[in-house]
Amino acid sequence: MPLTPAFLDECRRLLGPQHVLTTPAALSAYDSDGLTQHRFPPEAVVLPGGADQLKAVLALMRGQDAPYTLRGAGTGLSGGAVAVQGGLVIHLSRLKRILSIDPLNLVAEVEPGVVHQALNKALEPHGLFYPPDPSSGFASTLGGNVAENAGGIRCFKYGVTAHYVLGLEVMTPAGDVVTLGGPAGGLGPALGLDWKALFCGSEGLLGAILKIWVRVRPIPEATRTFLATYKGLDQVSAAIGALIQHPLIPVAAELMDKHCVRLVESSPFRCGLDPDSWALLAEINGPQALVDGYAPEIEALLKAQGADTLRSTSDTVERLKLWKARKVGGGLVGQVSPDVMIQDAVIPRNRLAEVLTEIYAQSEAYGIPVINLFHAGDGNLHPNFMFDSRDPAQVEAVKRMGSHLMEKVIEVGGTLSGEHGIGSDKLDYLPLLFSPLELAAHRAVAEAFNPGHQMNPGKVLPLRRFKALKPEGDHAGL
Amino acid sequence: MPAFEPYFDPQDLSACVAAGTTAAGLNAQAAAYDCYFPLELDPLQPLDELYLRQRATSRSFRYGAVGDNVLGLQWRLPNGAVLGLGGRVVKNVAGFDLVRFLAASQGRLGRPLRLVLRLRPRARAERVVALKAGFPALKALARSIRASSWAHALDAADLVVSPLGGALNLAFRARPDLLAAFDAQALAWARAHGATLEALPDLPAPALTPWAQLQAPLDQMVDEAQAWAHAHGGRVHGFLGQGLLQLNHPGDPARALASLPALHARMGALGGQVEHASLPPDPDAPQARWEAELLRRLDALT
Repeated sequence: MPLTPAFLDECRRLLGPQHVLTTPAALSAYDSDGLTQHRFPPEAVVLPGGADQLKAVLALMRGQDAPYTLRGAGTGLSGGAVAVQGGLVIHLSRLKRILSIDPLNLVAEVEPGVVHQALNKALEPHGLFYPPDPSSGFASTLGGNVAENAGGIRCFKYGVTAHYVLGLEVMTPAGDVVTLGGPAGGLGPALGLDWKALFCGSEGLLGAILKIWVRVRPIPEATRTFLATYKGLDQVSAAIGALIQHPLIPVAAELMDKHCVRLVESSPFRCGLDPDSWALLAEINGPQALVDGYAPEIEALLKAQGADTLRSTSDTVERLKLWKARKVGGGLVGQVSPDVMIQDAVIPRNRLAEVLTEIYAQSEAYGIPVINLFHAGDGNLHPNFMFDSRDPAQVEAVKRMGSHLMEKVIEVGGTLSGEHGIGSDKLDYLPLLFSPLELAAHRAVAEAFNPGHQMNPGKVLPLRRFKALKPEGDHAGL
Repeated sequence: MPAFEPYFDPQDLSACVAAGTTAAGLNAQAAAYDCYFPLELDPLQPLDELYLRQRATSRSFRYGAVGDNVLGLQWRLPNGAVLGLGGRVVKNVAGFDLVRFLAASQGRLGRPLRLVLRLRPRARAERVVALKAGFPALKALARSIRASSWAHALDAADLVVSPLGGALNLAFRARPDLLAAFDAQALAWARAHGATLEALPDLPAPALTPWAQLQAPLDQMVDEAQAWAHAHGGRVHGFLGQGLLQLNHPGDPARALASLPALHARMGALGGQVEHASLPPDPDAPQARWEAELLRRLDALT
C-alpha cells in the first residue's frame, strides 16, 4: 500500500513541509546509493531534525502499510540505503550534532548524521582521532558507518567501526527505545549478550540509531609512510605477507595494481611511479622512538622482497604526496569508464596472488577491464570492473565475473563482504557462504526485531519482503 | 561454506581449534612461527571458556576484547543444531555479527564446538614493569598512559589496587634494542608522577574467576578500584583499555554483596555494569524480551 496522504500531512506538521520530499525531482536524489546500477525511487523522503522527530516518524510508520528505509549520506556501495520496495526513506543527515567529547574518558557522543570527517575535525584540537577511516569519510555519516560496520585504510592496525562503538541508543521497529552500553562501553542490564555488537553492521534491519558513543584515541606522536614498487605480483604479495608478520603491526598496507598505477601516471595527477609496477603503501605510527627504530627494518623488509623503488618519509607534507596515488587512483577509476562495479570480498591473506591471478584471467576472458586497489593487509579485495551498462553483453559479463569472484573467494575460505555490506546487491551469493540452517539463524535474528520486514526490506538476507515487490525492480525475483 | 575444520595457518595468522584447546596448547604450536594468541587469563583455561566468560584480559589493551579476536565459531545451539558463525578472515560483514554478540554469553544461547582465532605476530623481547603510586598519582598516571603515543604500542596496562596501594603494570614487546626507549618512557612517567618503577619478570595474572566484575568509564577506574578496595578489602585488577575491573575476594562478602545493587545501578547509568551471580539480567529490560524471542526462534531451527 502507498503511504497515506494523512501520514504525509502528519509528517509535514511534525517536521515542517520543507523536510518532507515527494516530488520526482527531489526523490531522484534518493533512488540509489553509491551503487548506481540499481535504482529504486521511494514514495517520499523525510528529514527529521532530531531524535524526538525521528522517534515520532518511526512511531507513525507503525501504522502504515508501507516499508521504510533509514539512510545516512547514501555513500554505501551495496544498495543498502535504498527503497527496494518503495515506501519511505528517512534521511538522517540533519541529526548531526556532536553532543560531547570527553578527552579523559576517550569518548565522543554523537548523533547518527554526524559526518565522519567532521568528528575528526572536532577531535583534533583535543589531540584525539577516531581510528576507523572509510574512504567515504568526507561524506559518510557515523550512523551509516555503524550500520555497515565500516572499515577503511587503517583497519590493518585499528580494526573496524564495531571495535570503537561503546554504546548506541536505538529505537526498534516495535517501538522500544533502548540504550545499549554507553560511555562505559558495557552491556548495561543485559549481562552476557552484547546487543550493541549485534546492531553494528546490521544494515538497518534491527532498529534506528538515535545516538552513538565511540571510543577515540590520542593522535600518535609519529607516523612514517612507505611507498614501494614491484614488478611482479609474487614479489608484492611476499612483501604484504612480510608486513602481516611484522610485530609492530603497520597502520595500513594498501595495494595498487599495475593498471591503477598506469591510470594515475597517465593522468594530470601523476606521481612519478613506474607505470609498469605494482605500488604498495604501508604506514607505521606510535612513539617517535619506536617509529624511528622500526623504519629501517620496514624498509629492509620491503627491499628484501624485491622492491624496485622505495620512498619513505615522516614529514606530513611528503607523506601526503606518497598517499596521493592511492587517493587519486580511486577517483580516476570512476572517470575513465561509463560504469564501475566495485566489489568487496575478503580472503585469507596468503591467497592474494592466487585470487588476483584468477580475477585478471576472468577480465581477459570476458573483455572487461579490471583495476585493483585495496586493503591488502586485511585481505580485503576491491576489484573495480569497468564496463558500459548500456551494453547488455557487458552487464551480463560483469554479473558472471562477480559470481565467479565470489565462488573463488568462498573456495579459498573468504567471505562476501568486508566493509560494504550485503545490501540488496549480494543477496544471490549468500547460499555460497551460508547453509540453509545458517541463513535461517540469521533470519531468526532479523525477525526477532523486525518480523514484518517493514524496516529496510529486500536487504541482507534473501526473501525478506514487506509486500510484493515492484515488478520493475531489479530484484523482482527475490 | 567455511568448513571449520581444525587448521593452523602461521602465514595468515589464524587457527581453528576445538573447544577445550588451551592457550598454552595453541601457543606452544605458534611459538615456532613467532606468533601467538595473546589473550588469556590462565594458559590452561580452555579457549571456549575464555570466549564464553570473558570480555577482556591483560593484553586487551593492545588487542581488544576476546570477541574481537575470534573470527569464527562452529556453534551448537541449545536445541543441538550446529551452525557456522563468522569465518576465518579478519574483516567480515556478511550477515549479523553473532561472533561478537555471543562473546561472554556464558552459554545462554549455546556453546562453541570450534573456534577460529586471530593470531598476532610476537616480538621476541618483552619488558614488564610496575609503576607504584598513591591514589591521586595513580589516576594521573593512568591518564598520562592513555593519552600517550605509547597507548598505540603497549601490550598491557593493568591496574592493580589493594587496600595498601596501587600499581600500573605495563607490558611492552619489541625488538630487543627498542626496549630501552620504553624504559626511558617508564622512568619519565615514574618521575612525573612520583611513582616507583620496578621491573617484573612476568605480567601478574588476573584472577581466573573474579568474585565480581565492574565495567566503568575509563577515567573512573582508579576511583572505583580505590573505593572498592578501601570499603571491602581484596585485590582489584583492572584492564586500562577496557574499563573493566575484577573485584576479588572481599573481606566481608555479605557486606560487599549488599553494596552491589547500588553500584550496578550507578554504573548502569553510565553504560556499564557490575557482573555477579546475585545480579541476573534485568527481567524487565527490553533486552530480556529480545533474548527470549531470539531463543524461541533459534529453538525452532533444525
